[in-house]
Amino acid sequence: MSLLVRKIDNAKWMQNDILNNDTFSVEDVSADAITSLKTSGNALSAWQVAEEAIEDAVLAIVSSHQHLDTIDVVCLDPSSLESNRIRLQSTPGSTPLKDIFGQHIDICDLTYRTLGTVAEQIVHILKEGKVLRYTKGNIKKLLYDAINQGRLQKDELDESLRKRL
Amino acid sequence: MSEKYKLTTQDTGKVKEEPVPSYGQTTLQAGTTHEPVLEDLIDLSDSSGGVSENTLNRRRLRQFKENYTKELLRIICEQDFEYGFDSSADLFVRELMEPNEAVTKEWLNAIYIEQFSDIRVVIGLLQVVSHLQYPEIYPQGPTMALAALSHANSEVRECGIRAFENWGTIESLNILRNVKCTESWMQEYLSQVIKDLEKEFGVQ
Repeated sequence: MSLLVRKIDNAKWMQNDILNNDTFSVEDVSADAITSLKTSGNALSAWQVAEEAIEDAVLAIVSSHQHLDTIDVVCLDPSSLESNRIRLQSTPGSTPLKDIFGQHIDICDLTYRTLGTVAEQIVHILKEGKVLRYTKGNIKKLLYDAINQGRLQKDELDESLRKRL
Repeated sequence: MSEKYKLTTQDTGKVKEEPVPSYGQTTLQAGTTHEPVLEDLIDLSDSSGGVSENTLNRRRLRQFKENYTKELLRIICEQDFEYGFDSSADLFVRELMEPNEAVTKEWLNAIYIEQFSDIRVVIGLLQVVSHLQYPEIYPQGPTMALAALSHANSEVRECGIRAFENWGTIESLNILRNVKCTESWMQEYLSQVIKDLEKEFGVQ
């Protein structure tokens, strides 16, 4: 089964108490959480990977960063999005991790309704406690391993990130 | 292209205006008055007849407040921050840190205290200081992050933990070991950061 891995700002989603409120629905999500999704051209960027390769997507995300900040990712279900008439389109991804280059997906043509559907999936993931947090320590290890395996060239990373490794 | 003005490193107490590149829409207003105010006049000279260090420091801090506070607050409120990347506020502050680290830190600390009830500004400032190296921002940065840990807002508290995590010093570890979080998700994060730092320093 494949998944769409997307970075989120967990603290924004936790502004309203998702975890301790059984009746919490997508309509209760804070505006900051929705705007933190940062659509561009009515699309959201994600990496499509197999269930057992989520860390490849995380590596694709963090290897284009300038800082080793902790990040949160959620794994969206592409078939559920498509069954809600949300279009997924393969587009070139921006990452120095060459072997995942072709796995970048845009969640396209988003509207008020379909962005709500994406938000609904995120709320569900958060309620289930399935948001994945990668701390600075985890990120460093992912990057070191990829460099040692030759999957990532250190000099292709942003200079600021290189200095922090 | 818009220009903004910065203090020089010269220890004369005089402000030399020189243009530096601008970030996006950030435009500093250069209409600052450099007339002495009461705080400068209280402690005007030292025994050798020059201007005292205290006077110079007060003057520089006042000039930072006059020249840059409004602009930094505007940048923080308008910027599109994303974890992992430099923000416009990062670039703005780093530019000011270069010639005068000491006054920039004092100035950031002063804004932080004045704006402690404004979540957006407090978070923006914490994100900026957490991206600076520990020795650069010490001791004001860690003090700001410490204050963040007791803020009523959970996002501010998380930013406090993030800052100590980014600095990753033994002092950061000692501080984080004495923090308790009420939210389960944040406590989980805190425990993981402590574990990461313990591993890094080889301590239990």
